[in-house]
Amino acid sequence: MPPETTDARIRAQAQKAVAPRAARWWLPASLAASFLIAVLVVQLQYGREEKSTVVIEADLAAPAASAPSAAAEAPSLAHDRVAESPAVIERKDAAPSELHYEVAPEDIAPELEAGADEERITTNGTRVSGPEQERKAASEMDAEVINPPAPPPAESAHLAAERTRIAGSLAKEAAAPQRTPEAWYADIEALRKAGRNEEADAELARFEAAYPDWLEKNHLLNR
Amino acid sequence: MDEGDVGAQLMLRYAAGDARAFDELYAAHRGALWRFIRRSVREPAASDDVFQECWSRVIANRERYRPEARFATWLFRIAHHCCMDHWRKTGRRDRRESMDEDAVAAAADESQDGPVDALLAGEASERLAAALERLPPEQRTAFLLYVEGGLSVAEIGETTEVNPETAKSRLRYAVARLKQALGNEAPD
Repeated sequence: MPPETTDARIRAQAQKAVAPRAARWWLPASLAASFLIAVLVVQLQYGREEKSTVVIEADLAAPAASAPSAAAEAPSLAHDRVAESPAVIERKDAAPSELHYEVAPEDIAPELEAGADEERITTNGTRVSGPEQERKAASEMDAEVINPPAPPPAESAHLAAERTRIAGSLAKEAAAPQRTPEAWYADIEALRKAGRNEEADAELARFEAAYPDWLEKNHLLNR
Repeated sequence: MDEGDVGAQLMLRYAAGDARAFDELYAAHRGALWRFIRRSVREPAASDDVFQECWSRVIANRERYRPEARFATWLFRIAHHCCMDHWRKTGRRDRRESMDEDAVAAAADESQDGPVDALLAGEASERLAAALERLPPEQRTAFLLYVEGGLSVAEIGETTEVNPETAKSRLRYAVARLKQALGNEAPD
């Protein structure tokens, strides 16, 4: 008869051959975990890129105090991207800070309605993004214009009126449409023809500040 | 499949995953298979290896087993192939007839469980063991398959991959030589 050790070895081999394999739960679990992590990383990255594509409205960029501080808050990478984007060009074009355009509210509405998922900077410097936030920001601005915050008791009526005026001008600036240099210059010339030379000079000064080389390169050369 | 072939049924159950079926199968065939291999290979250590190799092949081929013949036939065919492989590896098949008488006697005394062992237990055991060792390998295999494995002539032919007539002839010569060794007259 074969040795008992041989018997034991053969029986063990036979049992091992048909023994159910241990459930490899870790394989699907690790695959699922990897997939989940990959999705999360992609989502995080995508969200970060969305935030970094800050589009600053040209007419909101004018206030010297708020716009630079907002730009300074943006990450350097985002800043670089913004600098390369057309929106920045528009912003540079519209740099004059004291422009006042009379625009009816209904002219603003389509722009607000059609607003894409872009971040914008409100008059108080906070960033908003998306149509919902835009509406919210617009309503905040309207609220500021219509119902300016109550001045502190110690504040005089003159200061309160000044705040209201500034808020109103900012709101108008926010609502003002963007003009091309040509249109702007045409307006200046129209003012001059109308005999409003002081206003025309003031506008021209702002125009030159906004487009230092435009007159030299375009208008004067054309003449 | 032969309905009465318990070995085949056990093998099918084992192939389906029933480990207990293998225990029954092993218990039923281990003795005969061991004796066949030991008398074919003759070296105890090598016999153990060949025996394990044989059962390893049974285990490995469990899912390919088809009960077209008796399980014993399938099992002993595997054992025969294992012995052939062993002989091929060691190149000792042709030397069996030169084996000394003491070794034959020692091998014969190792086990006294099977039909051949019962024959060898008698007075003429040494003569029979020596005669068995001297048999040509084919006749010896045919004789062991017939006596130890309980295979029919046809099954011996199937196991050793020869036609039944050749198997029958080998078996007849083997029996004649063994009888002659024991002092009897060889049958016609």
